[in-house]
Amino acid sequence: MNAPNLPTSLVDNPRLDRWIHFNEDRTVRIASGKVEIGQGVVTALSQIAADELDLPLERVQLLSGDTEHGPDEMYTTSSLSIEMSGGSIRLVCAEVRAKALDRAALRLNCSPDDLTVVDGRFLQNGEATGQDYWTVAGEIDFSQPPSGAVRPKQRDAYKVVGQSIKRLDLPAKVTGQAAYVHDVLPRDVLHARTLRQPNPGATLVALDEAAIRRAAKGELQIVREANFVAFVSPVESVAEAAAVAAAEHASWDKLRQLTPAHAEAAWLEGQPAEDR
Amino acid sequence: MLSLDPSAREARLAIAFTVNGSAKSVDVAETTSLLEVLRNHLGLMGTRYGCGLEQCGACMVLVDGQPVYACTRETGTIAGRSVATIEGLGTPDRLHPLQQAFLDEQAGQCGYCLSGILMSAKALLDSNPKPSRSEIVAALDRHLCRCGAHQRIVRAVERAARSA
Repeated sequence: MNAPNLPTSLVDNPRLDRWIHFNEDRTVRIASGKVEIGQGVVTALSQIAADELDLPLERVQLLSGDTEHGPDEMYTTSSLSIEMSGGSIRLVCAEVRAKALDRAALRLNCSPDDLTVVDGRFLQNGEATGQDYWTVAGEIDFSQPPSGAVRPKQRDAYKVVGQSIKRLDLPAKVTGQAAYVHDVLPRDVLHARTLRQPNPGATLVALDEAAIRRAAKGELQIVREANFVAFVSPVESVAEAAAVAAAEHASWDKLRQLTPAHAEAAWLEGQPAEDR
Repeated sequence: MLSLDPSAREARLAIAFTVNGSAKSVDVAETTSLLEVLRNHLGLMGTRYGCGLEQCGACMVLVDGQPVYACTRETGTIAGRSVATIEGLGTPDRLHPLQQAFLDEQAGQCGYCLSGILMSAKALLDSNPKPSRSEIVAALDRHLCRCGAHQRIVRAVERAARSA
């Protein structure tokens, strides 16, 4: 059987262990290179994994954006997270489920088709076998790529996907705990604010640095490169105050003069244009 | 190296106030924003920096029970006062009824606005336990949710008021 077209993320990160790891506490870590930006992707990807592995959602821990353990999936953008990461996780989980059932069947001297999975435990004719993902995980070579030959579940078999699940990221967000990039504050970090050009092409002819320093009221470094200026300080509010003051202490040349005519459609239509 | 301009330095003395019931003292210029003190000096990252211009409400905290933009509030004016932030409202294990209502209504996406909104909502319910919908909208008028969860947020505050 020819391997189907795999999602790009899985082609780029072919090892199963980039995506899945069975923890000792009877949970499974699913890793994704996509991150939560309020779109609910951590919840949605967990749902996909839970269904494919026949696990309750509580046993799935989604590791997101971890460059040491997880897959490199480039950016979280373009509404591709479910298609790329979800598609990959779906195939990986289907493959791992099949491998785990193969191992368990060998131990139990039965066919994998005789086994069903309930809460991660493998049942034979509805009876407990003592086997589960965690008893056989050590025998699976997770360094392999997926064959792509294992068929994931069909839609009518879904139990978790399609349900309106409460967002997993929200409890931290309503209690002020979620860590945003802004919350990472390294020791001895310097803060900077910039002075913006009022319009493209404007050139900075003068900057009253003494006046800006007076307004900033603190330790301040002014970095000036052509028409770009940055105000750097170990104290965030000093950099902020400098940038606020800078606007009135900067003199610009080649300022664009806007007139009411520029707001008219006729002006816009009269500009040079290139049809594409 | 950073150059130090002595003439530009302000006299400093410790500013004492309480945050979520605990006594705090910080050694900063009086003009330092309360938001910077909370985040950079006291490590309370739950109060968010949004615009820094009193335009978005992400930084809202309560000072003596009243909503205040922490981004522009000078810390010198906080001396002796009582500050409440999202960290003092509740934890995932011990949610405040407002936080529970926000989860029940799934009122939030990226979540960046929620700390400030929850604090304004707390001030509202403390002074007006059964607000009308229009009173809730008015109380949250200074807050932006760029994801567009405003309708759910208003419903969550209504729910919290009902449950109280």
